[in-house]
Amino acid sequence: MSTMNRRKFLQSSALLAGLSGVKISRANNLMASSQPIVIDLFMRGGMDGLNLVPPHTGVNRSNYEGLRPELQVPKTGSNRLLDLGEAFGFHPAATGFRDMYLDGDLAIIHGTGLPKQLVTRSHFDATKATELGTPNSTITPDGWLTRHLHSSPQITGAEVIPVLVSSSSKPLSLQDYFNALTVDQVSGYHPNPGSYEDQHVTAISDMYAGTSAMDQAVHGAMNTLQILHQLDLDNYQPGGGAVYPDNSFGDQLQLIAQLIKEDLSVNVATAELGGWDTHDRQGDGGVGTFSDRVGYLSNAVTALWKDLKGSGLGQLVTIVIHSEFGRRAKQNGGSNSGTDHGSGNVMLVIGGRVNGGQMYGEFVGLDQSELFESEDVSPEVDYRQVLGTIVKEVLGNPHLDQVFPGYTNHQSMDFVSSDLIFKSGFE
Amino acid sequence: MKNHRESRRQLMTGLSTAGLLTVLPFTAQPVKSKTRPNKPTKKQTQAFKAAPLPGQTFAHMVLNRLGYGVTPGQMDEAYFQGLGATNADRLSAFVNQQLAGGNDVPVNQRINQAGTYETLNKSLNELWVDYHIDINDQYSSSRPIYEHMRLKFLRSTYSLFPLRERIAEFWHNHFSVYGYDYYARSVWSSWDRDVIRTHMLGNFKDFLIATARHPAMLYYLDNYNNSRSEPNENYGREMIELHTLGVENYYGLAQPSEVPKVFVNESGGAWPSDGMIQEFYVDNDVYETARCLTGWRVNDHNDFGDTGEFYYDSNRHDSFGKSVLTGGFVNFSANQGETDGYEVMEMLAYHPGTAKHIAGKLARAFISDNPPQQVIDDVATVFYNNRTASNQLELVFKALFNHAAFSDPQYWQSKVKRPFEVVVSAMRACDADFTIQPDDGESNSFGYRMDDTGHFPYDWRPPDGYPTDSAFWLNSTALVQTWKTVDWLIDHDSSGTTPDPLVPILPYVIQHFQPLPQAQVLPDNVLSYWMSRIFDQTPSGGWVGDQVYESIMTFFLSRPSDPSYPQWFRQNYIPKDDLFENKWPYYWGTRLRGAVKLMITSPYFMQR
Repeated sequence: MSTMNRRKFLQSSALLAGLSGVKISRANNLMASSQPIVIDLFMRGGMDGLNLVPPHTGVNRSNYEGLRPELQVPKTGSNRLLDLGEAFGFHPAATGFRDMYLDGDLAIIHGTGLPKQLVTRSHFDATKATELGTPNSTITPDGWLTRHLHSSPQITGAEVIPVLVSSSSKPLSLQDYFNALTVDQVSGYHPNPGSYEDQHVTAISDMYAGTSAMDQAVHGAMNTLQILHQLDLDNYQPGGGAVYPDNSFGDQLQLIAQLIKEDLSVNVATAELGGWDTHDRQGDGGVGTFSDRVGYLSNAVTALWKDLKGSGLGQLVTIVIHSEFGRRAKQNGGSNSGTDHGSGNVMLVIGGRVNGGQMYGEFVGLDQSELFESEDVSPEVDYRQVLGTIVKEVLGNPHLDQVFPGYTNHQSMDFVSSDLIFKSGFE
Repeated sequence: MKNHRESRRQLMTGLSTAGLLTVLPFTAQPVKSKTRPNKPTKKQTQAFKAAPLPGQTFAHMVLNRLGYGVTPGQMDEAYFQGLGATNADRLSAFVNQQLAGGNDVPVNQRINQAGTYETLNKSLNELWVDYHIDINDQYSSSRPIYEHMRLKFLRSTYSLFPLRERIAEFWHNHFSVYGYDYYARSVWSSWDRDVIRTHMLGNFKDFLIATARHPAMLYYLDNYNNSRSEPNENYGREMIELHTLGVENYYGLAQPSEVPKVFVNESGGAWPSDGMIQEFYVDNDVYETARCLTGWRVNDHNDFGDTGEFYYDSNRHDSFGKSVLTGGFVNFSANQGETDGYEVMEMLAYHPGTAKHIAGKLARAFISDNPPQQVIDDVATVFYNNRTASNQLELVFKALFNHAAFSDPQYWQSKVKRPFEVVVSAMRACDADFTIQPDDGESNSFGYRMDDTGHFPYDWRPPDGYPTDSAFWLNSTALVQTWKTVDWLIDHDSSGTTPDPLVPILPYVIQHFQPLPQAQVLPDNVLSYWMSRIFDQTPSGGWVGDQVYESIMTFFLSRPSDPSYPQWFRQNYIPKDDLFENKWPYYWGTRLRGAVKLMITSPYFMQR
């Protein structure tokens, strides 16, 4: 009955605004929620994790240079890899990621992917398998976030907007979830431009006065618009001195931060970024298509994190960045080439509860004998182990068997601080 | 809080220098027993249905589900009544007439008048040469799909045979290909014409084979790249999972020998001699099907002529024996070549599980999200019994639409219209004059808005097609962006000194009320006139008192923004000049357009 919650919210906030002009938000601690928030950022097309976090030293580095003579991120020059003091570095466009890593807020997990026996190099299958959270079935009716929301004891049912999708349609991870606020534009709904807009919206609500799912969906949509209308989206002041890049992904992430800061009890937010399917002209020497994409991603996410952390919400927020698969270790041609679909990949996890500034996972190596099927970075770490660690230890939902049915013998990735309440599973 | 960091980092660096595991092994955490009971997964069980159009007529129901709604004066109650003596007769006659098709005069006229559709009559080879070989930029090579994304609106809005458009839409989603996919975008005119429309009422096996041989599908699901040395099972999997047996017939992680068998009365080809085949499929059947399809590629190489047509490459074909759906026995002999592909498609197309899968999809698309099992079984039987008939699918559609479940009122208005349907049926109901076409500013403006609904034709990326499930479309983006699109249609060029509306709302009011006495231009008469127009029927007691109608009336009588003018009294007639010229301060023309938008926004219009 979340539409009722939204309605109540609107009534109460309208009332408050009328009485005192006070705006409800987390920032002034009215009804402040302490629910943990996960922001799931999906990179569509197969992000090349090997060039996002390339080897820096050792035999992995020399193998890497051998596999990618034209595509490698160089160790020297103005576009050299960013040194993390580790065996791996960041792509030169990922300066924001580097800073978050050095601040201890970002963890890198290498060698993640679908379970080896279920690896697929098909975008569709891999995306479905990943987002539905059931690698052995691509036709599961609901997504992993849907099942998390339905099984988590942290969700009380009193949330105004438990789920925010900052794009035009819901991702598969939220398949079969009906109470998401989906916004790709915040321009709102202004029927009959300038004339009788409020009366028009009232009439719509009156026509859908019943209790069916359709009635609820319409009320939800109308309330959403009113909520967005109430928020002063145009004059938003990010926290922590964050500056969002002026592009659509920056806008999407800014909207997430903005709505999280209003006390609407957002528990899950999602957004996605495409353009990672770099079969050709991926770019070399640290510049080009892939580099642009990395900068686009890193700058926007860095602003999001700075904003939320600077607003005192760092301990509540965890950001996950992942993709359906990584790409082949070897470049597929010469200087204008790219990389084909692979399997093992990098995942990034950012948050105040994350033991960042270090690398996790398992990177077997880049020697022919070490590559998965002689082709890919080996997917040693089931991606569900990463998400499962977040679900259980950060989001406080012990029901991994429901979130990831069929996934057994979960072991913590141990990237969550040990002083957290959810760690031991809630007795 | 982050006190472990340094030690971990040292450990990691140490390991990597040693050339062993570069990163940490996991620390096992004891899994503690749960003390809370598992919450059952919540499911949406509530019916979604909002207030249905009261007293919906049979004709209105048929036109909404088997067409894109009412088109006043052309496809409406009066037209339908003329089709026969009883509802069953009229429905049957309507279906026959629609499926038979014919010269689609209004569509052809508009295409010719537009003069901007240039790819529709080109052959596959011409499309390939003109838009794939000769052109390198993505924009120009997309001309065919670009035209078809607009043509679909034109056809659906103006066709004399909207049922054929609905059926084409169904199959486009069943064999879904993303329109802007690399090959598909350049050859879409052929995909739509030579594959979908040629076969949509024909034989399913022939249809399946036509999709398998077309460059749009070969590229989209990667079979062009499926070879004995580098097998790619993407297409084999989707052919079974989506196009034929459906995942409902997946037996899970099992060996073929563990799957129950059924007897089928088939012979020749790859059919086992005892007629016993697996009732369900397992992963091994996917792999083996993919092997059958190795070497099926596109003639996209200079060495073969680069025609863009289907090309069987024997060098890439896996020539060893294969076993599909036999419990593990080899039923494809070695060295059969291209024949493997045709035989495996025959097995899949003739499998009883495929009949059930397709029948279920049809019933969910045309009747209800939860149709009765009887209609699925009955339609599946027709599908199966006619599996070799050249008009198999025509018979299937006739069985579906003439089935008792289709006419059962409990399933009327039980689906939410998808954004495309809302917009097209609004254009029909309002008699819009808008030829959506390429290279046209108004069509572009329309397209930008339609795009935001998430339901632009052929724009679905995964291979499963746009969902038909109503629940999927119940989200704020789809609803609001659809209404915004309708608002744009109704308002565009409707005011100013030289209005040229796409949707003639005020002109119809003028036409109707101009000859009538001033005293009859009452708010109730004006709104009732439009309600009856949009819904093609009038409740026996009139519209007054109806909840939706009264909600719209409240809007219609709103107090103007100028506070010195009161709310309009319902009993007061509206001066004709004020109404016809949209005069200050009441702006009746604006209110009228708003009222029509609300009718389209109402549950009476949004459900079918």
